[in-house]
Amino acid sequence: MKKNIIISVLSLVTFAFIGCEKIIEYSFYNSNLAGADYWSDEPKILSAGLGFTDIIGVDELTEANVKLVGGAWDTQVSCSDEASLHTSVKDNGVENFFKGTVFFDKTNKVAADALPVVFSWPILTETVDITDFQLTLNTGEVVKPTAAGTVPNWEYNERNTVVLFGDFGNRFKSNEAGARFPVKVEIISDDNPLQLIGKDNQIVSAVGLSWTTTKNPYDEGPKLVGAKLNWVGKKAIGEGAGGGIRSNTPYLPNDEFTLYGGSDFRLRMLTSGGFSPDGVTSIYPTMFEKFFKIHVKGVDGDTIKMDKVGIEYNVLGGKLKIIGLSDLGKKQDSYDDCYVDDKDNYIDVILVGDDAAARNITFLEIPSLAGGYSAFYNPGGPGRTPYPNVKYTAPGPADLEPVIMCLDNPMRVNYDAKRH
Amino acid sequence: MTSNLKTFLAYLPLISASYAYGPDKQSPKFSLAVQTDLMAYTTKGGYSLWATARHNQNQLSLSFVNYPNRDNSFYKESGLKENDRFLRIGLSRYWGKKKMKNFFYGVNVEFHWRELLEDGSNEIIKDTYWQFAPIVGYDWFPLKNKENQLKNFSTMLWAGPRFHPNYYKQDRVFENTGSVYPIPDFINASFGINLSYTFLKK
Repeated sequence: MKKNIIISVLSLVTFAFIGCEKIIEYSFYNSNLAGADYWSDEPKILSAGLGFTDIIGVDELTEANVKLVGGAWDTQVSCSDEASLHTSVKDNGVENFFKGTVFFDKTNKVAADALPVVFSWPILTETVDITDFQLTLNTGEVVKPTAAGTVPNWEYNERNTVVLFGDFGNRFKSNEAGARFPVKVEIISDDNPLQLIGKDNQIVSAVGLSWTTTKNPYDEGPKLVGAKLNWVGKKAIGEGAGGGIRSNTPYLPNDEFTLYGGSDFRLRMLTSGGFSPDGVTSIYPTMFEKFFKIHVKGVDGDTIKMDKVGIEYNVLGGKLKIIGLSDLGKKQDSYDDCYVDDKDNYIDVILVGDDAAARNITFLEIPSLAGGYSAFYNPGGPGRTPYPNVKYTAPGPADLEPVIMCLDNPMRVNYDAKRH
Repeated sequence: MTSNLKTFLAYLPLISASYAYGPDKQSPKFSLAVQTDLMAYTTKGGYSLWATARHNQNQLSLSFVNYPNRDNSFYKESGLKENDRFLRIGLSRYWGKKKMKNFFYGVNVEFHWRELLEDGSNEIIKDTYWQFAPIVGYDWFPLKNKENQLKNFSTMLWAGPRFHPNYYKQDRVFENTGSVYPIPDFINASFGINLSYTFLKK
C-alpha cells in the first residue's frame, strides 16, 4: 500500500510540475510554417508603428480596470456574452502566450502598450524574443519591449507579425506637445537572432532591419501593407497550428473551405494592425461591402470596381464573383455582437471566376470614411460606447493596395522545424 | 526546462513503479503466454503480437503492434496516411487479495516508428517517439474449468490514459505541399482486448 501511495504522489507531483510550465507556448514558437505567405522578394519590415497604449495586462478584466486604463467596454451589446466586448487583455492572457511579461500600474492608470512589427517574410518563431527589438522614441529615449510573441498571428500559414508589449508612448497626436511614441524600430542581435524565411526557402537573419515613422495611431489608424492573390486549391493549408488543444478556440476553423466549401481564388490582405469595425467588435464574413472594393481591369480598358458580394462581374478575361470574407471566425447561420474573430493581421476575400479574369485584378481598396464606407480601427479603438474624455486610436485611412499576382508563383513557404 | 529533463520527469512514475514490483513469496508461480490485441485488427493491415511472462503477481509483457491509419476522421479530411509501428513493454502487478486476483495494474511504455505519407506526393515523414500509459486491467479465464487445452485461453481487458511527453513537438509539416499532420493530444485513451494462450506453467 505504501508503495502505491508513493507512486501516486510521484505521478501527481510530476504532472503538476509539467503542467505548471507554459506548455502552450511551444506550439506558437516551434517555427513550423505551412503555406505561409511571403510578400516581397527581399525581407523587410512592412510596418512597425505604435498600435495603442495602456490597456494590456490588467490584473482582472473588470469594467473598472478597463475604464481606469482608458480602454473601451461596450455596454450596448445585442447578444448574451457581454464579457467579451472590451479592449483590454488580462496579464496572464499575455504571459501564457508571449515571451516576457507585462505590467499594470494602477496609481498611474496605465498598463502595457502594444506595437505590431509586420515583416514581409514569415518568422522562424523559435527565434522570437524581447531581446531582438529596440525602439527609439521621438523623445530620444531608447526602450525595449517587456513581452514579444506571435499571437494573434500564430497559425502556420501566417506568422509574419510579432506583437510587442511595453512602455512605448502616450495618447497625444504626433504634432501635439508632450507626444511620446516610437519613431524607429530596429531588429538587433542577441544570443538567438531573429530569423525569417522566404523566397527559395532562404533563411536570413532579420538583424539590421528597421522601420521609421513620424506618425502614431492617434493620428491615423491601421492600414493595408500587402495584398496577394492565390489559388484556393483543394484544401486549406496551414490553418491553425496542427489541432490538439489549440483547435479549441472560439474562432477556428475559419478557412474558405469551412465557410464556403472552397472556391477559386483567395485575395489575402496583410494589415499593419488588428482590424475591427470599432476596436471592440469583430468583423463578420458578410462585411465585405461595408469596407472593401476590388479593382479589376474592364473589357474596355476601364477599371471595374467590384463592391458587391454574389454579383457576377464581366471583366477583362471573363467573369468574377465575390463570395465573402474568411480567416475571421467560425461559420454561423447569422452573426451578432458575440461573434468572435481572430483579431489578427490577415483577412481573406474569397472569389470564384475565370483564371484570365482573376489575373486582371489590380488593387484592393479600403474607401474608409472619406469614401463613404466604414473605417477600421485597431484594438485601441473607441468601441460603440466610448468613455468621455478618453483618447482612443484614430480610424484607419482610405487605402489602395496593389495586388501581388501569385497564381503562377504562390510566394509561400513551408517549414518543418523538426527536420532542420 | 529542457525536453530531456521533462521526459525524465514524465517517466519518473514508471521508474518508481519498476522498483515497486517485488516477488510475492506466498504463491510462487511462473507462466509464459502468447497474446494478440484484437483492437489492432480494427484497421486494415493492423496486427499485434504479444509475449508475456508472469512470476507470482508480477508480469512482464513485450509486444509489437502494426497500427496503420488509426485516426480515420482526420485521414478522410486530409488524404494523409499513417503507418505506425510500435514496440510496447509492459510491467504489471496482479492484486494479492483472492477476490481481486484477476485484476492488475501497471505501466506500458511504447516506442513508435511512424511514417506519414502525403496524398498525391512522394514525400514521407519518418518519426520516432515515446509514449507511456499507466493501466488497469482484468484477466478473465472463461474456460478455466475445462479439462483440455481450452482452459489456457484467457481474455485480458486493459485501459488507461496514454501520455505523449513531448507531444508539442510532434506537429509535422509536409514541406512540398504545406499539409500539416496534427499533433496527438497530450493524453489520449489507450485500451486493449487481448486474447491470450498460456503455454507454460510451473
